[in-house]
Amino acid sequence: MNITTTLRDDGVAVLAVEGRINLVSAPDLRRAVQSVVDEGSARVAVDLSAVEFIDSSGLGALISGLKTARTAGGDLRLAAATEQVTSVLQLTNLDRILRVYPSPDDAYRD
Amino acid sequence: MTEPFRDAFRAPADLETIGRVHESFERLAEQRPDLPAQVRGAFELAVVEAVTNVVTHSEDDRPVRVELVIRTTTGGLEAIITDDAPPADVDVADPAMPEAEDLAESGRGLALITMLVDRFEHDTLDGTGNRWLLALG
Repeated sequence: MNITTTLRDDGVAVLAVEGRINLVSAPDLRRAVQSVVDEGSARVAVDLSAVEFIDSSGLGALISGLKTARTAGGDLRLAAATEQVTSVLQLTNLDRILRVYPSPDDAYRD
Repeated sequence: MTEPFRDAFRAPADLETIGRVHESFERLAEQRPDLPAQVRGAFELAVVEAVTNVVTHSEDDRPVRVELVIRTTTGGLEAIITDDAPPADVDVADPAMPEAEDLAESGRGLALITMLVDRFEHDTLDGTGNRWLLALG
């Protein structure tokens, strides 16, 4: 798994994740969210367009990130989920908590 | 006529083993392109969850070894995971999915497996380990 972090002019931190989010890589994702929130960007968008696989460990990292961002007064929103990610979010009912937007640009339009 | 697929390994129950599971499924994809990607993907997720369960429960104990056999069956897929950990006290018949609103960061693996496969069984091996069977189709 690779994560590319981009800080946008509007203050949103976009984390573009590539590869698999599983037990091996979940801690890196947690740390990446913690790091941007610590640096003052509590509004986080996770670009999932290049994520081929996520499991329950990966979902745990997203929930951890959501709590980290909310505690700092922000939010964590998902973008461009692939079919596999969408399906796992639905099976676990986490689509109720982790909203998926068509693209990172859409995540904080409101 | 498509050839039956069989892949197996025995390894320490550590993080590297998760990668090995994904590699087994890459070989399955190569050798059995006739299997729908969605079917293979659902089974891969179920097997990764089951092996993750073995790996995470072996961390704070003595070293555990895990063996995985994945094979095609008539019209489906089967995986048998054997470990030499102490017998696991789990209910695989109807594990509950945590409420989304509780924002739990773990505890979804077994519930996911039951949703993804047709058969999910757990047996203890006379105090010397556990055997997990997952089957689809």
